[in-house]
Amino acid sequence: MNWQLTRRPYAGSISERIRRSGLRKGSHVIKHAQARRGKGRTRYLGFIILSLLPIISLFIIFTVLPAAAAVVMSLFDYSLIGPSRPFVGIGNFRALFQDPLFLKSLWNTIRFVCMTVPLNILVSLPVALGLNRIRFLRSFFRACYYIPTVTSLAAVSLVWLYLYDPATGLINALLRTIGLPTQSWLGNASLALPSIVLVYVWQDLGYNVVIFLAALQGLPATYYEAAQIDGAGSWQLFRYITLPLLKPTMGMVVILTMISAFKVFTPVHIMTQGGPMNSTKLLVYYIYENAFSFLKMGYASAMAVMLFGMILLLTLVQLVFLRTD
Amino acid sequence: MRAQGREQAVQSGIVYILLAIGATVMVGPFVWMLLCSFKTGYEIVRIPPTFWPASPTIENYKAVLFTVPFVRYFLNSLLVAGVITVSVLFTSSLAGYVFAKYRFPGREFLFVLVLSTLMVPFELVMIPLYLLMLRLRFLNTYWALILPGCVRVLGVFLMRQFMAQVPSELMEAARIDGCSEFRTFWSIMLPQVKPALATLGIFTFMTSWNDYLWPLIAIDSMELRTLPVGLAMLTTKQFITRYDLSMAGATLAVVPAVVVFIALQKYFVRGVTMTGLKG
Repeated sequence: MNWQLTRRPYAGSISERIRRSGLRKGSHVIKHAQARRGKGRTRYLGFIILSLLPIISLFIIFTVLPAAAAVVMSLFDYSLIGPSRPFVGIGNFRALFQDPLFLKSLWNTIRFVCMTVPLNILVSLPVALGLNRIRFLRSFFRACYYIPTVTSLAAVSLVWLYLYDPATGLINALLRTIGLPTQSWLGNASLALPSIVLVYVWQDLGYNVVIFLAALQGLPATYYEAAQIDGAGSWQLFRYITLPLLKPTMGMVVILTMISAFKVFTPVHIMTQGGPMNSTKLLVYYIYENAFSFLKMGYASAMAVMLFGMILLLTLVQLVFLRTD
Repeated sequence: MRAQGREQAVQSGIVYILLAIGATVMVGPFVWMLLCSFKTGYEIVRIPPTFWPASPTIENYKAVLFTVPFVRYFLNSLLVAGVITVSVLFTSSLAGYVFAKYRFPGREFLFVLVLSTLMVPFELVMIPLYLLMLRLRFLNTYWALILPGCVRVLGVFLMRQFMAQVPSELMEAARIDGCSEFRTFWSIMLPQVKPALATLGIFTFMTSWNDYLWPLIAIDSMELRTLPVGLAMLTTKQFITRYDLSMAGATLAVVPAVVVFIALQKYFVRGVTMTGLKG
């Protein structure tokens, strides 16, 4: 076949071709051809504006502006019932550090986070390692560990309230049958916070199990084969191969678990209302009390700004983490 | 070789036993909740507790369903979570599509603006949001529950990733065939990202269904309470430690979530592992 015959002759410039094609001006084919050529110019601006405007507005109205308002409110003595709302500058923040209850709730929150995160990792990682090892019943077991995560924390808190009951609860009944002393789990100021930690970790665990399991399944098998040929034992495999390869996942999991632990509210509100003796008064619970029970909204906003600062710091740490790994 | 095989079998045996113990701790409280929800008010406070209900009764369920407007709570939650999910799916996929496939001035800026709200915790926003709703007279209405949940940053981010993976040739073909821009999005692009939509939808529904703090703040009237708040009121406000009622109520709240989870397990796992979504 003669290639010269099959080759198309020069068709002329775009505008010439449009003219010759007999298509009407403004036809979608022409628009499309023009859109493909004019890379620098914006096409379909009407559609873009129509679709983004409502969405961006909702973000601005319900997140950006309220966040800015919270920062502004933290500088005012803003009470819902007071007649005037004077500007106090950093007065609210100064008052916070003289408020023993705030300091207590900050300390409780830090203790809560410091108990929750290691406990969560120390349980979820071994569970994921176990799930990664087995073949039979793997998704059944994974489901068992994940189920508390999908249920509402409010319902779960009710169930644990009954389990923890000093007289009629199951936990003390079990302790009694094996001859151990019973405890007033939520009524004892030194036990109440760890008891809530336990409920929270139990509920939140499955999420990290699934993340760790997925990461473990993605690790290349060749490393393990090579190390096994070199005679490495299970512990050595874990210590020198699994753990270093899991480092990025670990960083992400730690930060995400920390951030959500900083914001815990539901179990405190349902199980202890901050008691006994303020031992379970966590930051968000104290913010809630100040804003919606005492109506001291400026003061509560100052606390919320501090919480935001801490979470922002953690998020930035996470970003740095992700960049280096 | 045989000794090694035996050692392996023993090891996996131990792994199975440990996992089973752990699984018992995870599922046990739910089993206990279910059993106790059928016990009478006297039996539930008996010391030591009985394992099987001595005289199983459905009185607790009757009490929860008919003396407390539990059905109403359930329907409220269904309505709120349903509307929020539809809205989040629509807004996230549309915004994700535009951010992924169109060029326009300010695109990067707008996207960063949207993304930066990811760092803002709800706890910072809730007080001004309450005042805003008060000003708009939306407190104690469905609007207060629905409006703040209608857009979700994580959704926009997620859908942008998925939309970017759909080949642009599909859009171009649709345009040549004379599709309007919206129709290209709705009938060509959207079906391409169905699995992502399913995952996002399930997580959005779950988050909204389980939400506690905002409905607690925004709603005062009994008729508009959502399920978690209504449940919590069972013990804290109306009845003092009526465990029989709270176990029946908790069962009614937990069972649908567990059934949905078991039916849609693969979407949950995919949601967590691919996107870091948290329900």
